[in-house]
This record gives sequence, structure tokens and C-alpha cells, in this order.
Amino acid sequence: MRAVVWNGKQDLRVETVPDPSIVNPHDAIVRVSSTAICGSDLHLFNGLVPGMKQGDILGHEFMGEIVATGRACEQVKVGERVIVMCGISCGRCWFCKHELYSACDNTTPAGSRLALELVYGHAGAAVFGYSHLYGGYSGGQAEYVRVPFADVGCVKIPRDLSDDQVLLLTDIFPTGFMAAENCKIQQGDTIAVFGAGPVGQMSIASAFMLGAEQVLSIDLVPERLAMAAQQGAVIVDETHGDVVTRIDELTGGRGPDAVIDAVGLEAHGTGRQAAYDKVKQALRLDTDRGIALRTAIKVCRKGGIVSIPGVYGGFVDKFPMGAAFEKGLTLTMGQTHFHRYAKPLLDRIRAGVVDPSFVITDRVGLEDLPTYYAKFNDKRGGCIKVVARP
Amino acid sequence: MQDRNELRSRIVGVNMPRGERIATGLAGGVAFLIGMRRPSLAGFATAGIGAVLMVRAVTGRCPMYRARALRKGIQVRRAITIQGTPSEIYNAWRDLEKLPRFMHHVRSVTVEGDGISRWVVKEGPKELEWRAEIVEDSPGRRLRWRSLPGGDLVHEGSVEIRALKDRGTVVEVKLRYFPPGGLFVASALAGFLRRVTTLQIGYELARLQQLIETGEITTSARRLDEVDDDRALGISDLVSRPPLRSAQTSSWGDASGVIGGAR
Repeated sequence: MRAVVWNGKQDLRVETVPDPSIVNPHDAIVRVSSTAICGSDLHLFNGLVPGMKQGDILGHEFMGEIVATGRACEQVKVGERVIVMCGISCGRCWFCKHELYSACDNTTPAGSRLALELVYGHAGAAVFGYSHLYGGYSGGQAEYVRVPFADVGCVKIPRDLSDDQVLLLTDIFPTGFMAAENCKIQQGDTIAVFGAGPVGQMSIASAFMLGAEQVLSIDLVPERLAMAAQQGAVIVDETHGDVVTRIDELTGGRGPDAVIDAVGLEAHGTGRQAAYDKVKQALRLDTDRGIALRTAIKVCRKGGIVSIPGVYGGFVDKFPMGAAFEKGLTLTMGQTHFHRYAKPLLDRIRAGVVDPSFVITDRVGLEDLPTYYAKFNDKRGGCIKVVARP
Repeated sequence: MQDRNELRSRIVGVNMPRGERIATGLAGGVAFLIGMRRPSLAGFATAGIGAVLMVRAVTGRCPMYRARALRKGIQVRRAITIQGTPSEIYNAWRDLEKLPRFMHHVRSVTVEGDGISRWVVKEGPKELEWRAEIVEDSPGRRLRWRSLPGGDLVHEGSVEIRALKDRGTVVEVKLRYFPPGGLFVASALAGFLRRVTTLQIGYELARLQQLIETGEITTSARRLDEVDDDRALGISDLVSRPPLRSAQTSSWGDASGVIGGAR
């Protein structure tokens, strides 16, 4: 089969590799019909996630048709059209039982689990195509994928919905939704969303779905801000002066009731602080660029919530603990529990309440993906969300 | 094994009492000064002894004490919490000949009868062999064993199983062993050996958890022919439960109507 293979930092190639096969009894093989590049794939592309090996297949947002099942599969059947949750969960451990799917005990192989335990204290669920730290599974930017625990991670898709309408349920729509849900939105709330990339857009849509009065969208890429404005968000352009002052003005000096950091460890930002972060990360003095998170904490109202769907991997320098403490903030974060949200959100898409496909800007073939990684990384040509059809 | 923590500090940490450190430091200082005033061989020797004593006092770590402590062997302990009943976990452990399916390092176990079994374990490039006897067997609670004389590794160990309230069952493995190579090797490598052994036990326990909870051993291999340990494949005969939760059946938010219907 053909697959997007990682050969090193900013070196992706589409190569011919052996097809996957059923390995364990709960596996299924999915023939991919659509697959997307996620913003978090750029961290792999830029070599910021440790544990990548030459030959790894990328991609964790994918869907398709079941073409083979292991002997212990009871729900998924050959020929069915499914979306596949990007996090892999066993559905049986204590954490899965309590719907904390991304904390699953059993899907990260023992070796990776021990490595993660040394770094983080405990190990969570594996993710398709996301380095050997996250389990070392082959990803979905390929023609076929081996899907472990297919009965747990697949959701059947009715034929009347298009791939574009449902593909984003595999990752970013649940991610944006959980970020908004964590904001515990009340009537009259203002929610500020840092980052107007795909997860930011999903967060904005979800915040409105959950009843936010006003949503602010903070970014510096014109096309992204335009998309946010189209959704009804009030835009704050970082290139037009101080973000903190603007947000203060827009919230009557009170600050937003909750802030979503949909940026993560590759924050850009402007000014001296952003430059400082970039230099430190480039020199490996620091792992994560924290400007978005710092600003989020600074602008959030007293007693408010800072919800963090953006990915962080190591240490954030100059973390404003004093501000967070003084204002009594609640910080809420973590890998999304995808399995919770996909089916209920699918029902909403089917009912015509929401259609997440508006973020898709580029539809390409599998062979084009390496080029589009670069384009997406540079935020060139209005590229916001790339979907490939192998 | 009650005094494990105390023993650990005697091996890897400061193992001298405070008073002894002060006395040693003073004696060493005096010997060093006296020695340095005499430009003779005896003087140098005295100064050298004084210097060693001072180092011993400053670091607080005496290699002789460490060696003495290690006569009790290297002790490790590691626990994991598994969603399974104590009897399921006990049975998985008591079925000795099937242990290699989750114990990656164990090549084979052959039961000889009378609680005695023969073990072949791969350790780096080497294979170690020994016979062991079960010294305590309390079904669903505890299993203790020790090696018989004449094997490649002198050790004793136990696995203790206890059910928690709504949190599953704790499985705790304790192991005490005497590394080949004697006290010298042990004292030089004690910390390293303990860390490696703890990781190895953690590795096996993670696989036991996978096997009990899901009926299979997790692997990220894309193809059957890429699996490095094929003893671990397709073994759902032990316990195979249907999933408790899945994406397909999730009803998250239905109760509040937040996701399912209009708000």
C-alpha cells in the first residue's frame, strides 16, 4: 500500500510499504476513504515530539470501510463504513469504564508505557501514528490501517452523510467540543478562544452550541480570523496591537468567563516574549512555547476557567502560577476522551444542527500530502484543514 | 523484607550515622594534617588515610557498610492494579507453564511436581536456569517461592493479591535476589540492578494487566510478521470480556440534553 512515511524532521515521503494484517483478536483492518492532517501532526513534522523513528506512518484522523476483522470482534463487520477514534482505548480498564478513554491503561504497549511512566508518572492511551511515545501504531495517512479494539473505537456511519461531514468526529470536533464543555458555559458567558486553526474553529462552534453569549477569536492569520468571524465570533487580530488590552476592552474590563488555549506548544505570538520562547525552544533550553497559555491566564476573569485542548509535551517556561492562584482560576486540560463525543455529535450532524466540514479548505490525493504538510505548516494560501482521499 | 527502606538507604544513600561521620571527619582531618607535616613515606601514607576518612565523612557513604547490607540481597517491589477478581489473577499466576505468555523475559517454565518447577529466563544475551519451589500457596491471596540450590540465580519472591473497593485488585510482586558475581558486583551495581529489575517486573505486570482485562497482549506491530514475541498472540482463552464502553454506544451528555438534543 501507499502511505505517508516520516523520514526525519520536515522530511515526509509517500512510500510503498507492506499492507497491515490482523494481529490480535480484537483488531480490524480499515480501507481508508478519507484522512486529514491534524495541527498536532505538525509537531511530528517539525520534530518536536520525541520517539519518532524513520519509517513511521503518520495520521490519526481517518475513516473508511472495514475489510477484515479479528476473531473476537463482535460489533464491526466487513463492509461497514466507519469513523475511527484517533485515540486507541480498550473499553475495559478502570479508566475506560469511567469514560476517561484517553487515560486507557492497556493500549500503550508495555515498553512505551514504562517510558511514559518515567517521564510523566503514568501512561495514557495510545494514538494512531503519533510516535513511539504514544504507542508506536501505524497511522491513517495510508490506504489501510490496522485498528486495535475496533469494537470500541469505531462508529458506524450512515450512507446519507458524506466523508467530509463526519471525518472530523475522529479528533478535532470532539476536541473542540470537550474544550468548550470544560468551560461550563452559563448564560451570558464570554468565551475567548486562542488560536483559530481547526481546533479553535471547532471550539468556537461548540461554545456557541453550548450557549455562549459572545466568543472572541484570537489569531494572527487573516483567513483563519475571517472563518471565525463567519461563525459569529468577535475577532482579535494579534498583529493589530496588544491582545490583553483588546480583550479587556471587549469584556468591559472583566475578562472572559473562560478561555480556551487551542494553540499548544508551537505558539507564535508577537513581540519580545514570543521571540524569547522561539529562541529557547530552538536552543532546546525549553520544550514548549508558552505564550498563548500565559496570555490566556492573564486575560481570564477572576474565578474563571482556562481550558487547554492545545498539546503540550514538556515544560513551559515562566508559567504565571501567581496570576492563576491570585485569580482563583480552574485549569482544565488533557487529551480528549474522543469516544464520549463522536456518537452524540454525529447525531447532531445528522439532525442538521451543525456541520463541521466548513473548516476543510483543501481536498487532495494521498500523494500530495507531504507538499500540503509544508503548506499547512507555513499557513500559506489560506490552508486551514487538508483532507486526502487515498 | 520489612526493613526494605532502611536497607535501601544503607545501600544507595548515606549509610553512616551522624556521630560517626563527625568523628571520622575529625580523625581524618587530624591524620591528614599530621601526615602533611612529615615529608616521609609514612607521612604520605598517614595523610592518604586521613583524606580517605574525610571523603567518607563528607559523603556519608561507606562501601564496606554497603557490602555488608547487600548480604541481604537486592530487594525490589512493584505493584499494579488490575480490573479482575483475585482468583482470576491468582489462576493466571499459578498456571506456571503458561507464564511466558505475559512474562516476556521467561523462556519456559516446566512443572516437575511437588511444588517444584524448572525455569529458563533470558537475561540480556544470556540464559539463566534454576529450579524453584513454592513455599506458600494461598489461593486468591498469596504465592511465595524460592530458588533451590544449584541454579544460576539465588532468589526468593512473592506475589500478593488483594481486592480494593471499586478500584480493582492490587497485585504486588516482591523479589529478593543475589546477583551472580557476588558482593563486589552487587555493591557496585546495586542501584542499577534494582532499577532494571523494577522496570522488568513493571513490564511483565503491564502485560498481565492487558491479558486479564482485554484477553490479549497489546502490540503496535502493523503485521503479524513484525511481532517480536509471538508467544503473546491470540490468547483470549484466559478472560475475554466484551467491552464495558465503546464509542458506538456512548450516550455522553444525553442526560443533560446538552449534546443529544437542543439546549
